[in-house]
Amino acid sequence: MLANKRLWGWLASGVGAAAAVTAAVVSPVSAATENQPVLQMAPGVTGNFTDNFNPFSGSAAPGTNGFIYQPLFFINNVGSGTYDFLGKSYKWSNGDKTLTVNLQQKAVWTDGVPFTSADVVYTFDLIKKYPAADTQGIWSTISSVKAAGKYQVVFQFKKVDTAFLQNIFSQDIVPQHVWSKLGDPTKANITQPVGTGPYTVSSFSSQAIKLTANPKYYLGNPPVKAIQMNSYNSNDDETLALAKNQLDWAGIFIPNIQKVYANTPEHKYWFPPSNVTMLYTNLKDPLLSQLPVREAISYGLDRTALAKTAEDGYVAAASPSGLILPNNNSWLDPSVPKSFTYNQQKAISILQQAGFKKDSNGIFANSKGQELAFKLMVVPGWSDWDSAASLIATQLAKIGIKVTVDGEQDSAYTADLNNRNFQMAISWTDAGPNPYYLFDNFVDSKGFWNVEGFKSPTVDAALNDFASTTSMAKQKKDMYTLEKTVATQLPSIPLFYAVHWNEYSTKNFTGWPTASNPYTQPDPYEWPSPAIVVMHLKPVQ
Amino acid sequence: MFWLALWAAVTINFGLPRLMPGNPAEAMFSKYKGTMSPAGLHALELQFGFSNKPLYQQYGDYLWSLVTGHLGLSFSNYPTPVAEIIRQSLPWTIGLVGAATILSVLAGTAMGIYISWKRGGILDTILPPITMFLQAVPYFWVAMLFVYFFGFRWSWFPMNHGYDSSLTTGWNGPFVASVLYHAALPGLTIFIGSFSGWMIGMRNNMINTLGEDYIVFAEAKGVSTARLMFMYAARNAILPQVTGFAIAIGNVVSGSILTEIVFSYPGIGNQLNNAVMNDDYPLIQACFLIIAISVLLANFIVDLLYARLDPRVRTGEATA
Repeated sequence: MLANKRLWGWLASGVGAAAAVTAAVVSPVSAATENQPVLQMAPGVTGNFTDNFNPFSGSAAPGTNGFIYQPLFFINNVGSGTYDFLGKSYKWSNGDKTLTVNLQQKAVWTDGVPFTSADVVYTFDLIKKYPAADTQGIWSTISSVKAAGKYQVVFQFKKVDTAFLQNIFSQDIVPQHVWSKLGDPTKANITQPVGTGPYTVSSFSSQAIKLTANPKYYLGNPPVKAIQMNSYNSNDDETLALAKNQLDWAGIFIPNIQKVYANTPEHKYWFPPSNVTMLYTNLKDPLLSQLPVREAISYGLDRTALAKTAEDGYVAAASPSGLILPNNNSWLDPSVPKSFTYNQQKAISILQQAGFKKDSNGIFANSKGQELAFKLMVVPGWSDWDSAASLIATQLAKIGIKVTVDGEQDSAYTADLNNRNFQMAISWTDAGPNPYYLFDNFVDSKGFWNVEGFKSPTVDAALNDFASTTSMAKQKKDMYTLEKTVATQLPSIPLFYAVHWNEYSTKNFTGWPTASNPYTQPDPYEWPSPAIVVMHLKPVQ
Repeated sequence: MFWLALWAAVTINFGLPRLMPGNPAEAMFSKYKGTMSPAGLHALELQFGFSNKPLYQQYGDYLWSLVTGHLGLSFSNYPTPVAEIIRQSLPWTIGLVGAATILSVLAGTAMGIYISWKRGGILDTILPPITMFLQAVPYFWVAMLFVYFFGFRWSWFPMNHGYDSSLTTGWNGPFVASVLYHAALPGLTIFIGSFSGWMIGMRNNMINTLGEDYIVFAEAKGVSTARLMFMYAARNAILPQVTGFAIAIGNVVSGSILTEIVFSYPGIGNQLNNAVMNDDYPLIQACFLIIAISVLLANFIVDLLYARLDPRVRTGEATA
């Protein structure tokens, strides 16, 4: 009896305490600054934040690039145009081997020291001295950076490579008067960053970073006075936070979004394509290296069903041209087919014409008895691609090609792709502001993500020609060559688009990027683009 | 024994992460899914400074750094020292899981004593099947249900995180209240997940003990009910519970990783999960080290406690 009384006493006091606490903490919505709501955002599914605002670190806190430190320019990937950060204008000269950039004259570091060309030159010299900080590989292509006056910087290139602009433009600039005392920039732990951006860090914790507007920002006083970036560990809890109006802005995959999130007029989403999800076929493989086999695979895939199963129908089937549409519409060769054809009969007849015959297992095999049986590498846990992989296996089984899904841990997956130690794999393409970047990585014989091992002198020549000119007409001609090659040679098999995930609420803020006004890519995790979005927002009165 | 066990734990700790394929730079690169340039991957590998030293030399360096207390820099939170990450997250886990475990042991044992005393009563008929059902359900699933109903649907409790981010951290009233409020739901799932084991364990021990002759004798002699229940029966029945408690305390650090993930709790379980996902060897090693040490220490303390509780252990030692 005694124990019983104690127990109930404890339970009662526990319930009482919980109730008292509940009463004390009733406001989950944050306090407003100057009567304006704080912009609540989740920069992806980040896990706990790291208290390090170091732009040279691979694990810097979100916002380091954009909100705090800034590059020269940002090239819009989903629309057109270049957004000026610390750069104001640029021009090519000396046969496109010299790049002159004019800088903002009103920019000031948040400690009050004016920003000048000396900071830009210092930053580029710093990453030359410490190659571990050169995350854009800039010194592989340029030979010198010099100041020409207080607000002009001149870059000399080793060879003509106009597409390399993107790398130079996206280098974050750091203040010389602070960083010259820090030694190796990659080893510095920056908790009180001094930047040029629209925000300063007002408080840090591993679950939330709070930012306050910098009223002296050179592009104008930020319309959003305070931002809180929240960390989440899984899509699930971030989805619930979104649905409960605890977040104004997030960027995650949400199944059945119409019902789960976009069920009120304020909750909106826009998922523009970001790159092409590809079924990579290793051309070292004696069977996959034969064009008819790849053609048959391509005809045997129902891409619409794949996109629907894997990405809940938020994405479209990829284009045979290899381009990201509609972003790259202006580069599209009209003679390339508009879309892939799904035709199992055609796939089977292609294989039969190429001399393959079905064996006793019902799988096509060549005259030596080698079956068309392949392992398809994916990462277990990347659930969208996992379900795409099993559907690919089902679809290709119908045309007599056997696919076994082979799960690899993410780091092993990367290593195997880099070492071309796979047969088939689902992976991304490295996209950029125009289709050149995707093709340069994907099909150039020295391309970084040419994991299939495609080699074509025509393609290499077209890519070289594209990068050595600024003439639009010539670049278009080269691009058409590339598109035709990719469409006819099928170096690998485009499946569907990857997208910028982006959910937003117009309850507290309006002015978000939309399909009709794509002023920048809309997701909250690919920096420095969010710094452009927040400057376009307007608080709801 | 203690040192041998520690050495074995430390050595396995060194070997396991290195058996995982790939390296931390590749793991980080793959997270970017095409938005990191090749130069970025190269720069990461340079930053992390992978040593290509032979394995025995790395092992020597590793042991030496442990002895000198240097746990290294985390890769996934580069360049934050691992010790700093542990220092930030360990108190959250110990606070949440430790408190929930102790409460569960105390409440479960007390309830076990009570229902065994009143065996055949209403509580004895109802509680064991209900709590066993709750324990059999995976605890992270219970956690998810709680988040959905108590957090999302009815808004009684916060859905995630360790405290309300809009407050200033520190020893101030609203913050402490917020920490307690946020701990309620994850704490409850841990409580529910283990309560039944303690209760049924204690009940069964008690029923065995209550059948002993000395209990019957004491009851016949007229010993008061409370004294009979606690001093005669419970004291003898509690020994296996103490062993279980040692194991549970050792598991405080490692046992509730999924609960922490479901609630985005800022504890060490989350850090370990992130570390494994990112091939962050130094952080994985440090987390495992903490887990190994806490299990060993808990066992050590319970060995001492056992001698205090059970006279047979003391006399056994004396004669041996």
